[in-house]
Amino acid sequence: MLALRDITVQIGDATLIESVTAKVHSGQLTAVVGPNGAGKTTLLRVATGELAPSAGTVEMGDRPLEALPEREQARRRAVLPQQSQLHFAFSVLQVVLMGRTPHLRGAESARDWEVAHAALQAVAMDDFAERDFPTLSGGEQQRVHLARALAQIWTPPDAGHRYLLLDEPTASLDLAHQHQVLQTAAGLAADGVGVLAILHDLNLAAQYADHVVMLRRGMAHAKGPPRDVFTPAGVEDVFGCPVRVIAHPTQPCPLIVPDATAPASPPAVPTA
Amino acid sequence: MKRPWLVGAGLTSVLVLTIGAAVAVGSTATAWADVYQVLAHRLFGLGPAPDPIVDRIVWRLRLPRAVLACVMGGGLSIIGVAMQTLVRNPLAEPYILGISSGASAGASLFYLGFLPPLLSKTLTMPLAAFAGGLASITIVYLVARDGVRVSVARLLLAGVAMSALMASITSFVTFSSPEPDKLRAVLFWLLGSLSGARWGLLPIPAVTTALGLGAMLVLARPLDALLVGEEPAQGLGMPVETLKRGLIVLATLVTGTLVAVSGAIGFVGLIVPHAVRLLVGVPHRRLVPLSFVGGAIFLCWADLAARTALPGQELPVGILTALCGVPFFLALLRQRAYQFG
Repeated sequence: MLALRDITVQIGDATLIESVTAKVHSGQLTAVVGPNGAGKTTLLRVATGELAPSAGTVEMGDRPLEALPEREQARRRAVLPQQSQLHFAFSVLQVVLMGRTPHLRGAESARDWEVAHAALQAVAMDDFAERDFPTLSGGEQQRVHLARALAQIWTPPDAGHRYLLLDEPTASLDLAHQHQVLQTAAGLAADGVGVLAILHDLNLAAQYADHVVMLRRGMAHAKGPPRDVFTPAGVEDVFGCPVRVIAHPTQPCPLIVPDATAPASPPAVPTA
Repeated sequence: MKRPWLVGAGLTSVLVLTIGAAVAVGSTATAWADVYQVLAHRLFGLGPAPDPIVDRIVWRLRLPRAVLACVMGGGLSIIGVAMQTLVRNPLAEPYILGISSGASAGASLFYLGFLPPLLSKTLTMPLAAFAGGLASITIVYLVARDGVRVSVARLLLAGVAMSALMASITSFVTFSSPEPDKLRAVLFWLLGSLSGARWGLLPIPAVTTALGLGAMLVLARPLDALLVGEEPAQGLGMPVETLKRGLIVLATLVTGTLVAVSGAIGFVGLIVPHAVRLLVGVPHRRLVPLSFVGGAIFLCWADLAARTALPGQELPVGILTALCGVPFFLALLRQRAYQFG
């Protein structure tokens, strides 16, 4: 379990996160949702150890995160950040192979190359292996970065569990690829990986997440299974948008549709 | 074309021929056979002792100069790679970012007696250059940093500004000093020249450059990850902040020791890594060693041109590297792939 306990993040006078507790259980997909500026990415940066919280603790397994060396963390936990720009002409395969770096002793082995190829296959990008990364479209680049993260945690570690942290993995993807990415993530969860995903699309969260954390102004407004979190009152409270929640026609999950007859009023974002 | 071993073998043989040419060609024509005779005798004790005049020209004057050109060209190229990886943009280079002129200012302040000789003179000079370079790049980096990100546009502008400031300091202290040949001294520090090459000057720059080369080879994979982005590198378990600080110190150390013997030679670290990337791709385990060899070749030829372009006199080699480098820099600026972010 990757556990964030009572996390508070203050930068200057602004409180970005206030006493949030969230747990990423192995074998589950946990989604973090909330309006812009609610603190989703900040929470993820705390979970990766990139940002030290002002108060609260992060634990991986039963040890505090800071007690684990960075390389050891990286063998068990992969992160897909929001898109970063790469102008240098690495090949797609070279980018994916980088995911193996925390596991290397010296140079890449034949096994590392196999994993890189398999990870590319998992995101349906194996035909692009030799292409120059900067020539790909935004969505294709995003999938290659996902393959890099997959390659990083491809095999179970000697001890402990694996974690995958995704920051808006479906941004810039078309409909089919949004579902493909979340199916891949759900598949990893079924394999025992603890997955944390920041999602903008509530219906993707409803369909794929086992557990949802809904943030509002840096605080956890609601936590639980999608069915409990995505209530019309809860969603309107947090997003300022009146919605109807109906049964999904084919899936055992709620379907959230904006109620066009009432006006939407997005919540004010606290300014930093 | 991405066959690194072939390219490596090719470049290395070109380098050997280049050094041969750099030693054979000059104001006094020397036969290649005489060059080989001197080298065989000096290096391996083979063959008859050469004519003392030829021996002096080849062994005392031209060979140390060719070796210095290799160290300087190779060192500046790998430091170019380091700076480009640090800011994730191929426009970075120690000369453009103000490290070289800062090092020049530090070295000239010491050379003209404005700084106390802390250790021996041969050690204090590179130290002063290092301090000058570090002061300059620190200011540039602080100005360019915007929260956690480094703005490339600001980095380049701050680099240009600090370069101008440091060049003014160098010029000011030189003209206000009792140095007999002021103009020549200013030109040496600002445009760079290999004319002072002696065997005795070589060990310090050679050792720090070798150190830099070794460090960058060991760090090849972390540097690859850094090129993809700071967040991805962090996610792969790299100590990103330590790596970035280390790169700045390493770049300044190598640049400082090089500038202390040859003045500020610009644009080598811009042209060479870019050309090598086109040949063998981006990964540092190929880029770093081949940039070293490529830089050595490039500066040997530039210095050869500087020695022979005008009859009877020598040009500062920095004039030639700038003549090649500035159009190249402008062309890179125009390329849309390298946006300012």
